[in-house]
Amino acid sequence: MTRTTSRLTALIVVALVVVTAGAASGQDGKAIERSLAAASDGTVTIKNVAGSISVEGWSEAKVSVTGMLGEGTERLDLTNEGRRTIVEVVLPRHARHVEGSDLVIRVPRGSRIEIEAVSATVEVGDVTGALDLHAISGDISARGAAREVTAQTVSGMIEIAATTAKLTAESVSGDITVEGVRGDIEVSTVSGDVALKTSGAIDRLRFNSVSGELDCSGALSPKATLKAESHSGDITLTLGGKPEGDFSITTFSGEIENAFGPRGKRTSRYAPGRELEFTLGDGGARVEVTTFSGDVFLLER
Amino acid sequence: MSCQNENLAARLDDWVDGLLAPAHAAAVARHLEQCADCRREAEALRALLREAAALPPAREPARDLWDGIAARLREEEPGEQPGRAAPHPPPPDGNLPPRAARRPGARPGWAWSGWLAAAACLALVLLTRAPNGGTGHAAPRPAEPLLAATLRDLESGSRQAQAEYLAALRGVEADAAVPTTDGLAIASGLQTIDAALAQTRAALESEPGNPLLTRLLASGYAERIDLLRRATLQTTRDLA
Repeated sequence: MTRTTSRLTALIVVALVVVTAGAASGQDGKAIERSLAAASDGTVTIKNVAGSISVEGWSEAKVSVTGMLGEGTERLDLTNEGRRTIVEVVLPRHARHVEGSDLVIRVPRGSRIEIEAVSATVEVGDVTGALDLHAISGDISARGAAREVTAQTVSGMIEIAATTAKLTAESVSGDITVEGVRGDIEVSTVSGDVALKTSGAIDRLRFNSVSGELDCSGALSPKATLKAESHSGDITLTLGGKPEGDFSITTFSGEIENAFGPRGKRTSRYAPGRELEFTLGDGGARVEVTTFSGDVFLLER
Repeated sequence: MSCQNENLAARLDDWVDGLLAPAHAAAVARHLEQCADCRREAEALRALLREAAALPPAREPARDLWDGIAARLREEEPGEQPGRAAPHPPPPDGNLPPRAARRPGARPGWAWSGWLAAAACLALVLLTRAPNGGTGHAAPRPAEPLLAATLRDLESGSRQAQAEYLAALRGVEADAAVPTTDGLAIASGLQTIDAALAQTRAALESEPGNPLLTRLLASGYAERIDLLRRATLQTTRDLA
Protein backbone atom coordinates (compact mmCIF):
# COMPACT_ATOMS: atom_id res chain seq x y z
CA MET A 1 0.00 0.00 0.00
CA THR A 2 1.45 3.35 -0.99
CA ARG A 3 1.85 6.16 1.57
CA THR A 4 -0.91 8.18 -0.14
CA THR A 5 -3.31 5.23 -0.06
CA SER A 6 -2.59 4.49 3.59
CA ARG A 7 -3.12 8.18 4.49
CA LEU A 8 -6.39 8.22 2.55
CA THR A 9 -7.50 5.07 4.32
CA ALA A 10 -6.69 6.62 7.67
CA LEU A 11 -8.68 9.74 6.77
CA ILE A 12 -11.68 7.67 5.74
CA VAL A 13 -11.53 5.72 8.98
CA VAL A 14 -11.38 8.96 10.99
CA ALA A 15 -14.29 10.44 9.01
CA LEU A 16 -16.37 7.33 9.63
CA VAL A 17 -15.66 7.52 13.36
CA VAL A 18 -16.64 11.21 13.47
CA VAL A 19 -19.86 10.65 11.53
CA THR A 20 -20.81 7.69 13.69
CA ALA A 21 -20.12 9.63 16.88
CA GLY A 22 -22.14 12.56 15.59
CA ALA A 23 -25.08 10.34 14.71
CA ALA A 24 -24.88 8.64 18.09
CA SER A 25 -24.91 11.96 19.99
CA GLY A 26 -27.83 13.12 17.85
CA GLN A 27 -29.77 10.10 19.01
CA ASP A 28 -29.18 11.00 22.71
CA GLY A 29 -31.76 13.86 22.72
CA LYS A 30 -35.46 13.06 22.41
CA ALA A 31 -37.75 15.06 20.14
CA ILE A 32 -41.08 16.07 21.70
CA GLU A 33 -44.38 17.21 20.23
CA ARG A 34 -47.33 17.40 22.58
CA SER A 35 -50.34 19.61 23.18
CA LEU A 36 -53.14 20.04 25.72
CA ALA A 37 -56.32 22.10 25.79
CA ALA A 38 -56.00 25.18 28.03
CA ALA A 39 -58.09 28.12 29.21
CA SER A 40 -57.69 31.20 27.00
CA ASP A 41 -56.84 33.33 30.04
CA GLY A 42 -55.48 30.71 32.41
CA THR A 43 -52.00 30.30 33.84
CA VAL A 44 -49.17 28.38 32.18
CA THR A 45 -46.37 27.32 34.53
CA ILE A 46 -43.12 26.23 32.89
CA LYS A 47 -40.13 24.64 34.66
CA ASN A 48 -36.91 23.81 32.84
CA VAL A 49 -33.51 23.82 34.49
CA ALA A 50 -31.17 24.11 31.51
CA GLY A 51 -31.41 24.67 27.81
CA SER A 52 -33.94 27.15 26.52
CA ILE A 53 -37.58 28.12 26.92
CA SER A 54 -39.24 30.04 24.10
CA VAL A 55 -42.89 31.02 24.65
CA GLU A 56 -45.09 32.58 21.99
CA GLY A 57 -48.76 33.54 22.27
CA TRP A 58 -51.32 32.35 19.72
CA SER A 59 -55.05 32.42 19.19
CA GLU A 60 -55.72 28.74 19.90
CA ALA A 61 -57.12 27.47 23.22
CA LYS A 62 -54.37 25.00 23.83
CA VAL A 63 -50.75 24.74 24.94
CA SER A 64 -48.40 23.15 22.43
CA VAL A 65 -44.89 21.99 23.33
CA THR A 66 -42.27 21.04 20.77
CA GLY A 67 -38.53 20.77 21.01
CA MET A 68 -35.85 18.43 22.22
CA LEU A 69 -35.36 16.87 25.64
CA GLY A 70 -31.70 16.77 26.65
CA GLU A 71 -29.77 13.66 27.55
CA GLY A 72 -30.28 12.77 31.19
CA THR A 73 -33.82 14.10 31.49
CA GLU A 74 -36.45 11.69 32.71
CA ARG A 75 -39.52 13.03 30.89
CA LEU A 76 -41.65 16.04 30.01
CA ASP A 77 -44.84 16.50 32.04
CA LEU A 78 -47.72 18.39 30.42
CA THR A 79 -50.74 18.49 32.74
CA ASN A 80 -53.73 20.62 33.73
CA GLU A 81 -54.66 21.57 37.29
CA GLY A 82 -57.89 23.52 36.97
CA ARG A 83 -57.09 26.66 34.99
CA ARG A 84 -53.33 26.08 35.34
CA THR A 85 -51.37 24.19 32.69
CA ILE A 86 -47.99 22.86 33.84
CA VAL A 87 -45.06 22.17 31.51
CA GLU A 88 -42.19 20.61 33.41
CA VAL A 89 -38.94 18.97 32.35
CA VAL A 90 -38.46 16.28 35.00
CA LEU A 91 -34.93 15.25 35.94
CA PRO A 92 -33.87 12.03 37.66
CA ARG A 93 -33.37 12.69 41.37
CA HIS A 94 -29.71 11.74 41.50
CA ALA A 95 -28.53 12.62 38.02
CA ARG A 96 -24.94 13.82 37.91
CA HIS A 97 -25.00 15.37 34.47
CA VAL A 98 -27.95 16.95 32.77
CA GLU A 99 -28.06 18.26 29.23
CA GLY A 100 -30.34 21.16 28.57
CA SER A 101 -33.76 20.74 26.99
CA ASP A 102 -34.91 23.20 24.34
CA LEU A 103 -38.65 23.90 24.50
CA VAL A 104 -40.79 25.91 22.10
CA ILE A 105 -44.17 26.51 23.73
CA ARG A 106 -47.25 28.10 22.15
CA VAL A 107 -49.78 29.38 24.67
CA PRO A 108 -53.16 31.15 24.51
CA ARG A 109 -52.33 34.81 24.07
CA GLY A 110 -54.22 35.94 27.20
CA SER A 111 -52.38 33.52 29.50
CA ARG A 112 -50.47 34.43 32.61
CA ILE A 113 -46.98 32.92 32.24
CA GLU A 114 -44.86 31.70 35.15
CA ILE A 115 -41.38 30.43 34.33
CA GLU A 116 -38.72 28.94 36.58
CA ALA A 117 -35.33 28.25 35.08
CA VAL A 118 -31.78 27.92 36.32
CA SER A 119 -29.44 28.27 33.37
CA ALA A 120 -32.05 27.98 30.66
CA THR A 121 -32.56 31.09 28.55
CA VAL A 122 -36.08 32.45 28.66
CA GLU A 123 -37.86 34.26 25.82
CA VAL A 124 -41.49 35.32 25.86
CA GLY A 125 -43.34 37.12 23.11
CA ASP A 126 -46.84 38.13 22.07
CA VAL A 127 -48.56 37.33 25.38
CA THR A 128 -50.97 39.84 26.92
CA GLY A 129 -51.31 38.32 30.38
CA ALA A 130 -48.88 38.88 33.23
CA LEU A 131 -45.34 37.48 33.02
CA ASP A 132 -43.54 36.16 36.09
CA LEU A 133 -40.09 35.08 34.92
CA HIS A 134 -37.33 33.68 37.13
CA ALA A 135 -33.89 32.41 36.15
CA ILE A 136 -30.60 32.10 37.95
CA SER A 137 -27.92 32.39 35.30
CA GLY A 138 -30.14 32.19 32.26
CA ASP A 139 -30.93 35.34 30.30
CA ILE A 140 -34.52 36.60 30.23
CA SER A 141 -36.12 38.51 27.39
CA ALA A 142 -39.72 39.58 26.96
CA ARG A 143 -41.45 41.53 24.21
CA GLY A 144 -44.99 42.39 23.28
CA ALA A 145 -47.83 43.87 25.29
CA ALA A 146 -47.87 41.96 28.55
CA ARG A 147 -50.09 43.45 31.22
CA GLU A 148 -47.37 43.24 33.83
CA VAL A 149 -43.81 41.88 33.84
CA THR A 150 -41.74 40.56 36.74
CA ALA A 151 -38.25 39.37 35.78
CA GLN A 152 -35.70 38.14 38.26
CA THR A 153 -32.21 36.69 37.72
CA VAL A 154 -28.97 36.39 39.60
CA SER A 155 -26.34 36.59 36.90
CA GLY A 156 -28.37 36.41 33.72
CA MET A 157 -29.27 39.46 31.62
CA ILE A 158 -32.76 40.89 31.44
CA GLU A 159 -34.07 42.50 28.24
CA ILE A 160 -37.59 43.87 28.21
CA ALA A 161 -39.00 45.40 25.04
CA ALA A 162 -42.66 45.46 25.98
CA THR A 163 -45.34 48.12 26.26
CA THR A 164 -46.20 46.94 29.72
CA ALA A 165 -47.56 49.32 32.31
CA LYS A 166 -45.87 47.70 35.30
CA LEU A 167 -42.38 46.26 35.42
CA THR A 168 -40.31 44.81 38.24
CA ALA A 169 -36.82 43.72 37.24
CA GLU A 170 -34.18 42.43 39.64
CA SER A 171 -30.70 41.08 39.13
CA VAL A 172 -27.55 40.65 41.15
CA SER A 173 -24.89 41.02 38.48
CA GLY A 174 -26.81 40.76 35.24
CA ASP A 175 -27.40 43.87 33.13
CA ILE A 176 -30.95 45.07 32.61
CA THR A 177 -32.21 46.72 29.41
CA VAL A 178 -35.72 48.11 29.25
CA GLU A 179 -37.45 49.72 26.27
CA GLY A 180 -40.98 50.81 25.74
CA VAL A 181 -42.19 50.37 29.30
CA ARG A 182 -44.34 53.14 30.76
CA GLY A 183 -46.09 53.69 34.06
CA ASP A 184 -44.75 51.89 37.09
CA ILE A 185 -41.13 50.71 36.96
CA GLU A 186 -39.04 49.15 39.70
CA VAL A 187 -35.48 48.07 38.90
CA SER A 188 -32.96 46.74 41.37
CA THR A 189 -29.44 45.39 40.91
CA VAL A 190 -26.25 44.98 42.88
CA SER A 191 -23.62 45.36 40.18
CA GLY A 192 -25.45 45.08 36.88
CA ASP A 193 -25.92 48.14 34.70
CA VAL A 194 -29.39 49.36 33.78
CA ALA A 195 -30.37 51.06 30.52
CA LEU A 196 -33.96 52.27 30.55
CA LYS A 197 -35.81 54.00 27.71
CA THR A 198 -39.48 54.60 28.28
CA SER A 199 -42.06 55.03 25.53
CA GLY A 200 -44.68 57.05 27.38
CA ALA A 201 -44.38 59.09 30.53
CA ILE A 202 -42.98 57.63 33.72
CA ASP A 203 -45.47 57.59 36.59
CA ARG A 204 -43.26 55.88 39.13
CA LEU A 205 -39.64 54.77 38.91
CA ARG A 206 -37.63 53.16 41.67
CA PHE A 207 -34.00 52.34 40.94
CA ASN A 208 -31.69 50.78 43.45
CA SER A 209 -28.11 49.71 42.89
CA VAL A 210 -24.86 49.26 44.73
CA SER A 211 -22.29 49.60 41.98
CA GLY A 212 -24.38 49.27 38.85
CA GLU A 213 -25.05 52.33 36.69
CA LEU A 214 -28.41 53.70 35.58
CA ASP A 215 -28.94 55.36 32.23
CA CYS A 216 -32.60 56.43 32.07
CA SER A 217 -34.21 58.30 29.20
CA GLY A 218 -37.85 59.37 29.16
CA ALA A 219 -40.47 61.88 30.12
CA LEU A 220 -42.08 62.54 33.50
CA SER A 221 -45.83 62.48 33.99
CA PRO A 222 -47.19 65.54 35.88
CA LYS A 223 -47.33 63.67 39.22
CA ALA A 224 -44.43 61.29 38.64
CA THR A 225 -42.20 60.09 41.48
CA LEU A 226 -38.71 59.08 40.52
CA LYS A 227 -36.37 57.74 43.20
CA ALA A 228 -32.89 56.56 42.25
CA GLU A 229 -30.29 55.43 44.74
CA SER A 230 -26.85 54.00 44.20
CA HIS A 231 -23.69 53.58 46.20
CA SER A 232 -20.99 53.98 43.55
CA GLY A 233 -22.83 53.56 40.28
CA ASP A 234 -23.34 56.70 38.18
CA ILE A 235 -26.90 57.83 37.55
CA THR A 236 -27.81 59.56 34.27
CA LEU A 237 -31.32 60.94 33.74
CA THR A 238 -32.10 62.27 30.26
CA LEU A 239 -35.48 63.99 30.47
CA GLY A 240 -37.56 65.10 27.52
CA GLY A 241 -40.91 66.79 27.02
CA LYS A 242 -40.17 69.96 29.03
CA PRO A 243 -40.06 68.30 32.46
CA GLU A 244 -41.76 70.03 35.35
CA GLY A 245 -40.91 68.88 38.84
CA ASP A 246 -39.09 69.28 42.11
CA PHE A 247 -35.57 67.88 42.05
CA SER A 248 -33.47 66.83 45.03
CA ILE A 249 -30.00 65.43 44.29
CA THR A 250 -27.60 64.44 47.06
CA THR A 251 -24.23 62.74 46.87
CA PHE A 252 -21.63 62.13 49.58
CA SER A 253 -18.61 62.33 47.32
CA GLY A 254 -19.83 62.20 43.72
CA GLU A 255 -20.22 65.01 41.21
CA ILE A 256 -23.46 66.56 39.99
CA GLU A 257 -23.88 67.85 36.44
CA ASN A 258 -27.15 69.55 35.61
CA ALA A 259 -28.14 70.62 32.09
CA PHE A 260 -31.22 72.43 33.41
CA GLY A 261 -29.30 75.25 35.03
CA PRO A 262 -28.74 75.22 38.79
CA ARG A 263 -25.43 73.79 39.96
CA GLY A 264 -24.81 71.52 42.90
CA LYS A 265 -23.25 73.09 45.97
CA ARG A 266 -20.94 71.66 48.58
CA THR A 267 -22.69 70.51 51.73
CA SER A 268 -19.69 71.42 53.84
CA ARG A 269 -16.45 73.29 53.45
CA TYR A 270 -14.55 70.29 54.75
CA ALA A 271 -16.46 67.39 53.21
CA PRO A 272 -16.75 66.38 49.57
CA GLY A 273 -20.56 66.05 49.54
CA ARG A 274 -22.77 67.95 47.13
CA GLU A 275 -26.47 68.63 47.00
CA LEU A 276 -28.80 70.27 44.53
CA GLU A 277 -32.43 71.25 44.98
CA PHE A 278 -34.40 73.11 42.32
CA THR A 279 -37.78 73.26 40.65
CA LEU A 280 -38.52 73.17 36.93
CA GLY A 281 -41.72 74.77 35.70
CA ASP A 282 -44.59 74.58 38.23
CA GLY A 283 -43.21 71.48 39.93
CA GLY A 284 -45.58 68.53 40.34
CA ALA A 285 -43.31 65.58 39.65
CA ARG A 286 -40.78 64.61 42.33
CA VAL A 287 -37.25 63.45 41.46
CA GLU A 288 -34.89 62.27 44.21
CA VAL A 289 -31.42 60.96 43.47
CA THR A 290 -29.00 59.79 46.15
CA THR A 291 -25.51 58.35 45.80
CA PHE A 292 -22.53 57.72 47.99
CA SER A 293 -19.83 58.23 45.37
CA GLY A 294 -21.62 57.78 42.08
CA ASP A 295 -21.85 60.84 39.83
CA VAL A 296 -25.24 62.23 38.85
CA PHE A 297 -25.98 63.63 35.39
CA LEU A 298 -29.25 65.44 34.59
CA LEU A 299 -29.47 65.84 30.82
CA GLU A 300 -32.04 67.35 28.50
CA ARG A 301 -33.30 65.35 25.52
CA MET B 1 12.87 25.41 49.73
CA SER B 2 15.73 27.22 51.43
CA CYS B 3 16.42 29.87 48.81
CA GLN B 4 17.16 33.20 50.43
CA ASN B 5 15.96 35.23 47.49
CA GLU B 6 12.23 35.05 48.07
CA ASN B 7 11.50 37.59 45.37
CA LEU B 8 13.07 35.52 42.62
CA ALA B 9 11.83 32.23 44.05
CA ALA B 10 8.27 33.59 43.89
CA ARG B 11 8.67 34.19 40.16
CA LEU B 12 9.52 30.61 39.28
CA ASP B 13 5.94 29.77 38.28
CA ASP B 14 5.77 32.60 35.80
CA TRP B 15 9.29 31.87 34.54
CA VAL B 16 8.39 28.26 33.79
CA ASP B 17 5.22 29.46 32.01
CA GLY B 18 7.23 31.95 29.95
CA LEU B 19 5.21 34.86 31.28
CA LEU B 20 8.00 37.07 32.60
CA ALA B 21 9.29 40.16 30.81
CA PRO B 22 12.72 39.54 29.25
CA ALA B 23 14.65 41.44 31.93
CA HIS B 24 12.95 39.53 34.76
CA ALA B 25 13.30 36.21 32.94
CA ALA B 26 17.02 36.84 32.54
CA ALA B 27 17.33 37.64 36.26
CA VAL B 28 15.61 34.37 37.17
CA ALA B 29 17.80 32.43 34.72
CA ARG B 30 20.95 33.91 36.29
CA HIS B 31 19.64 33.00 39.76
CA LEU B 32 18.97 29.42 38.69
CA GLU B 33 22.61 29.06 37.62
CA GLN B 34 23.57 29.58 41.26
CA CYS B 35 20.64 28.19 43.27
CA ALA B 36 20.24 24.42 43.34
CA ASP B 37 17.01 24.67 45.34
CA CYS B 38 15.34 26.82 42.75
CA ARG B 39 16.68 24.64 39.93
CA ARG B 40 15.04 21.60 41.57
CA GLU B 41 11.81 23.55 42.06
CA ALA B 42 11.76 24.71 38.44
CA GLU B 43 12.35 21.17 37.21
CA ALA B 44 9.55 19.90 39.46
CA LEU B 45 7.23 22.54 37.99
CA ARG B 46 8.14 21.54 34.45
CA ALA B 47 7.55 17.86 35.26
CA LEU B 48 4.17 18.73 36.76
CA LEU B 49 3.13 20.64 33.66
CA ARG B 50 4.19 17.73 31.46
CA GLU B 51 2.06 15.35 33.53
CA ALA B 52 -0.89 17.75 33.53
CA ALA B 53 -0.73 18.15 29.77
CA ALA B 54 -0.91 14.40 29.38
CA LEU B 55 -4.09 14.13 31.44
CA PRO B 56 -7.45 13.52 29.70
CA PRO B 57 -9.70 16.63 29.27
CA ALA B 58 -11.94 15.78 32.22
CA ARG B 59 -11.68 13.37 35.06
CA GLU B 60 -14.69 12.82 37.28
CA PRO B 61 -14.10 12.00 40.93
CA ALA B 62 -15.45 8.76 42.34
CA ARG B 63 -19.08 9.05 43.41
CA ASP B 64 -18.27 8.33 47.04
CA LEU B 65 -15.79 11.23 47.18
CA TRP B 66 -18.59 13.70 47.90
CA ASP B 67 -19.86 11.75 50.93
CA GLY B 68 -16.53 12.27 52.69
CA ILE B 69 -16.43 15.96 51.81
CA ALA B 70 -20.03 16.49 52.94
CA ALA B 71 -19.29 14.78 56.25
CA ARG B 72 -16.28 17.03 56.86
CA LEU B 73 -18.34 20.14 56.01
CA ARG B 74 -20.99 19.17 58.52
CA GLU B 75 -18.39 18.63 61.23
CA GLU B 76 -16.68 21.98 60.77
CA GLU B 77 -17.39 24.71 63.28
CA PRO B 78 -18.26 28.30 62.18
CA GLY B 79 -15.16 30.39 61.70
CA GLU B 80 -13.23 27.63 60.02
CA GLN B 81 -12.83 27.55 56.29
CA PRO B 82 -14.77 24.69 54.76
CA GLY B 83 -13.91 23.19 51.46
CA ARG B 84 -10.14 23.44 51.84
CA ALA B 85 -8.47 20.19 50.82
CA ALA B 86 -6.06 18.44 53.15
CA PRO B 87 -2.45 19.48 52.52
CA HIS B 88 -0.26 17.23 50.45
CA PRO B 89 2.14 15.05 52.48
CA PRO B 90 5.77 16.02 51.83
CA PRO B 91 7.55 13.82 49.31
CA PRO B 92 10.26 11.52 50.75
CA ASP B 93 13.18 13.63 49.48
CA GLY B 94 12.10 16.61 51.60
CA ASN B 95 11.44 18.98 48.70
CA LEU B 96 8.41 21.18 48.72
CA PRO B 97 5.21 19.33 47.78
CA PRO B 98 4.05 19.92 44.24
CA ARG B 99 1.77 22.85 43.70
CA ALA B 100 -1.81 22.19 42.71
CA ALA B 101 -1.88 20.76 39.23
CA ARG B 102 -2.86 23.13 36.51
CA ARG B 103 -5.31 21.33 34.25
CA PRO B 104 -6.32 23.70 31.51
CA GLY B 105 -8.50 21.10 29.90
CA ALA B 106 -10.34 20.06 33.06
CA ARG B 107 -14.11 20.54 33.05
CA PRO B 108 -15.54 19.63 36.45
CA GLY B 109 -19.02 18.09 36.42
CA TRP B 110 -21.20 21.09 37.14
CA ALA B 111 -23.82 19.08 38.97
CA TRP B 112 -21.89 19.05 42.28
CA SER B 113 -18.41 20.56 42.03
CA GLY B 114 -19.77 23.93 40.95
CA TRP B 115 -22.05 23.92 43.99
CA LEU B 116 -19.16 22.93 46.27
CA ALA B 117 -16.94 25.70 44.94
CA ALA B 118 -19.76 28.21 45.29
CA ALA B 119 -20.63 27.09 48.80
CA ALA B 120 -16.98 27.17 49.89
CA CYS B 121 -16.50 30.58 48.34
CA LEU B 122 -19.63 31.95 49.99
CA ALA B 123 -18.76 30.40 53.32
CA LEU B 124 -15.31 32.00 53.17
CA VAL B 125 -16.90 35.37 52.44
CA LEU B 126 -19.55 35.15 55.13
CA LEU B 127 -17.76 33.34 57.92
CA THR B 128 -14.55 35.32 57.81
CA ARG B 129 -16.26 38.68 57.55
CA ALA B 130 -18.18 39.82 60.62
CA PRO B 131 -21.58 41.40 59.95
CA ASN B 132 -20.22 44.74 61.07
CA GLY B 133 -17.51 44.50 58.41
CA GLY B 134 -14.92 43.47 60.94
CA THR B 135 -13.54 46.99 61.07
CA GLY B 136 -13.42 46.94 64.86
CA HIS B 137 -14.87 50.44 64.92
CA ALA B 138 -17.68 51.52 67.20
CA ALA B 139 -21.18 51.49 65.76
CA PRO B 140 -21.97 54.77 63.99
CA ARG B 141 -24.36 57.21 65.65
CA PRO B 142 -27.33 57.86 63.38
CA ALA B 143 -29.17 61.12 63.21
CA GLU B 144 -32.29 60.15 65.18
CA PRO B 145 -33.29 57.54 67.77
CA LEU B 146 -35.87 56.10 65.35
CA LEU B 147 -33.20 55.67 62.70
CA ALA B 148 -30.92 54.09 65.31
CA ALA B 149 -33.59 51.52 66.12
CA THR B 150 -34.16 50.88 62.41
CA LEU B 151 -30.47 50.35 61.81
CA ARG B 152 -30.23 47.92 64.74
CA ASP B 153 -33.18 45.99 63.33
CA LEU B 154 -31.58 45.91 59.90
CA GLU B 155 -28.23 44.75 61.25
CA SER B 156 -29.96 42.03 63.22
CA GLY B 157 -32.06 41.09 60.18
CA SER B 158 -28.92 40.90 58.07
CA ARG B 159 -27.25 38.50 60.53
CA GLN B 160 -30.40 36.40 60.69
CA ALA B 161 -30.73 36.22 56.90
CA GLN B 162 -27.05 35.25 56.64
CA ALA B 163 -27.50 32.44 59.18
CA GLU B 164 -30.56 31.17 57.32
CA TYR B 165 -28.70 31.13 54.01
CA LEU B 166 -25.74 29.25 55.46
CA ALA B 167 -28.14 26.75 57.02
CA ALA B 168 -29.84 26.33 53.65
CA LEU B 169 -26.48 25.73 51.95
CA ARG B 170 -25.54 23.09 54.51
CA GLY B 171 -28.94 21.48 54.17
CA VAL B 172 -28.77 21.02 50.40
CA GLU B 173 -28.68 17.33 49.58
CA ALA B 174 -25.16 16.15 48.87
CA ASP B 175 -26.21 14.51 45.64
CA ALA B 176 -28.69 17.10 44.49
CA ALA B 177 -28.58 17.05 40.72
CA VAL B 178 -29.57 20.64 40.25
CA PRO B 179 -27.85 23.68 41.70
CA THR B 180 -30.80 26.02 42.15
CA THR B 181 -28.81 29.16 42.70
CA ASP B 182 -25.63 30.73 41.38
CA GLY B 183 -23.52 30.62 44.55
CA LEU B 184 -20.54 32.40 43.08
CA ALA B 185 -22.67 35.28 41.80
CA ILE B 186 -24.40 35.51 45.18
CA ALA B 187 -21.05 35.57 46.98
CA SER B 188 -19.78 38.24 44.60
CA GLY B 189 -22.94 40.31 45.12
CA LEU B 190 -22.56 40.06 48.88
CA GLN B 191 -18.94 41.15 48.64
CA THR B 192 -20.01 44.20 46.64
CA ILE B 193 -22.69 45.10 49.18
CA ASP B 194 -20.36 44.52 52.14
CA ALA B 195 -17.70 46.72 50.59
CA ALA B 196 -20.28 49.48 50.14
CA LEU B 197 -21.45 49.06 53.76
CA ALA B 198 -17.87 49.28 54.99
CA GLN B 199 -17.32 52.48 53.01
CA THR B 200 -20.51 54.02 54.35
CA ARG B 201 -19.71 53.04 57.95
CA ALA B 202 -16.23 54.51 57.62
CA ALA B 203 -17.70 57.77 56.29
CA LEU B 204 -20.21 57.86 59.17
CA GLU B 205 -17.34 57.67 61.63
CA SER B 206 -15.97 60.92 60.28
CA GLU B 207 -19.44 62.44 59.96
CA PRO B 208 -21.56 60.94 62.73
CA GLY B 209 -25.25 61.55 62.34
CA ASN B 210 -25.03 62.41 58.64
CA PRO B 211 -28.60 61.67 57.46
CA LEU B 212 -27.55 60.82 53.89
CA LEU B 213 -25.01 58.27 55.10
CA THR B 214 -27.46 56.82 57.60
CA ARG B 215 -30.04 56.40 54.86
CA LEU B 216 -27.49 54.77 52.55
CA LEU B 217 -26.42 52.44 55.35
CA ALA B 218 -30.01 51.38 55.93
CA SER B 219 -30.50 50.80 52.19
CA GLY B 220 -27.35 48.73 52.06
CA TYR B 221 -28.50 46.45 54.86
CA ALA B 222 -31.92 46.12 53.25
CA GLU B 223 -30.27 45.07 49.97
CA ARG B 224 -28.15 42.53 51.84
CA ILE B 225 -31.18 41.03 53.53
CA ASP B 226 -33.11 40.91 50.27
CA LEU B 227 -30.26 39.19 48.43
CA LEU B 228 -29.74 36.61 51.18
CA ARG B 229 -33.44 35.82 51.39
CA ARG B 230 -33.72 35.38 47.62
CA ALA B 231 -30.67 33.14 47.67
CA THR B 232 -32.12 31.08 50.54
CA LEU B 233 -35.37 30.66 48.67
CA GLN B 234 -33.58 29.58 45.54
CA THR B 235 -31.30 27.18 47.40
CA THR B 236 -34.16 25.39 49.11
CA ARG B 237 -36.31 25.21 46.00
CA ASP B 238 -36.58 21.69 44.64
CA LEU B 239 -36.38 21.73 40.88
CA ALA B 240 -35.29 18.13 40.42
